[in-house]
Amino acid sequence: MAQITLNSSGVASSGTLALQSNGTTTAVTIDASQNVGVGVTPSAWGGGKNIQLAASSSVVGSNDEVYLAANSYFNGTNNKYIANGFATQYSQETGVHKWFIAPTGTAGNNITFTRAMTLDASGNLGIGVTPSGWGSTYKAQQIGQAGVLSGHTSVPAMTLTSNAYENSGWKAITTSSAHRIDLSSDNNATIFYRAPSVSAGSALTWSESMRLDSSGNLLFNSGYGSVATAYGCRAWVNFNGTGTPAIRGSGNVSSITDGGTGTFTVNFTTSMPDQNYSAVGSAVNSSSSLVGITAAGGIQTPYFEIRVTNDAGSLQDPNFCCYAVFR
Amino acid sequence: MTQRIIYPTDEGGVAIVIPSPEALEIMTIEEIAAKDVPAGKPFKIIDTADVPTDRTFRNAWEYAE
Repeated sequence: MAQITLNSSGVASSGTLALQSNGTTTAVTIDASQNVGVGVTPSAWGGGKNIQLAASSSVVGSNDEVYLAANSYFNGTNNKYIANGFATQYSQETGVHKWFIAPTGTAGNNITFTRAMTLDASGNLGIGVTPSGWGSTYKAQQIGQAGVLSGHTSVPAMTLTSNAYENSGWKAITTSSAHRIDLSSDNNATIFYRAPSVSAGSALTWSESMRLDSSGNLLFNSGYGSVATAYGCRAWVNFNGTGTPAIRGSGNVSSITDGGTGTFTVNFTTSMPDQNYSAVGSAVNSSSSLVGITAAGGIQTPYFEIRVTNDAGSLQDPNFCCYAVFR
Repeated sequence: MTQRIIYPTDEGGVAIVIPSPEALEIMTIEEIAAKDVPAGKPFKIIDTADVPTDRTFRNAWEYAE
């Protein structure tokens, strides 16, 4: 049997409307403030109109806003815990989506919500922050105070920035320096920028600091005066050529070959792509003056032959021989 | 115990291949020999202790089969 009563006692004194089912079980309660409880008597809501489901889940409407709340209600002044435990809230307000979180609390106590995430009316997402005033060139995911992952809206490019947002030019989120990495399929390059500190909201002046170009070359400015390709050392070795020759240290060298007095071959672990590399070396012998080191026409892709001579031009074993290859 | 690779040179002497520690972390000495001994040359892998330390007559050393 189902029935509609004015209240649980069937009288209108409280102004409450109750829908009963399964005998006299109250299924729906509409209180005097037009708040609805489904399977529960609505909490003492203030402000908007609410549908409270079961014990503590609610949907609330207020003007052009709608809220979805778990374990919380608004009494017109404060948000309060309905029961002991965590509380969360999601709202849609004037085109903005907001997600709120709160620590566990006690029934009836006030709730201090923290806005955990915001999707603004332009489609930019803020995690732990309200997104800055982004323009239409990028769609952004702003994280924490000033970390941003953004994608260009018209070209295939993604940008990772610290303390920068774009709106008619790049601007500082807070008063600090800024950094930016462009991953651009548009120009087939990865480019690193930095900008000196400016005040919040002011235009940033970027300087390129490093680039991985379309050929895979790494260009950077490490005191060169400009961003330029960095040509790295491709192999190096430091060995003792006296007594029982031994390698002290090396990079990309699989072995050295002792071919006789003052005659050595440096074998690369990974061969050079051609024979046009540049090799530099030095050698010294503790029992005589500095000895020279010369290439012997043995420049090959998998190895390089060297001859170590003394001042008189005679081959001599070095106790320190250092060698490096650049290309 | 460290090892060396030896093989005869075209001039009748003997070449001694000294593997680098970095290479031995990723390759066996046999693999280094296969890579760094000239193709077609016979070679042996010997203990380092068997290589003379007196190099006064280094160019007179010969490879023994």
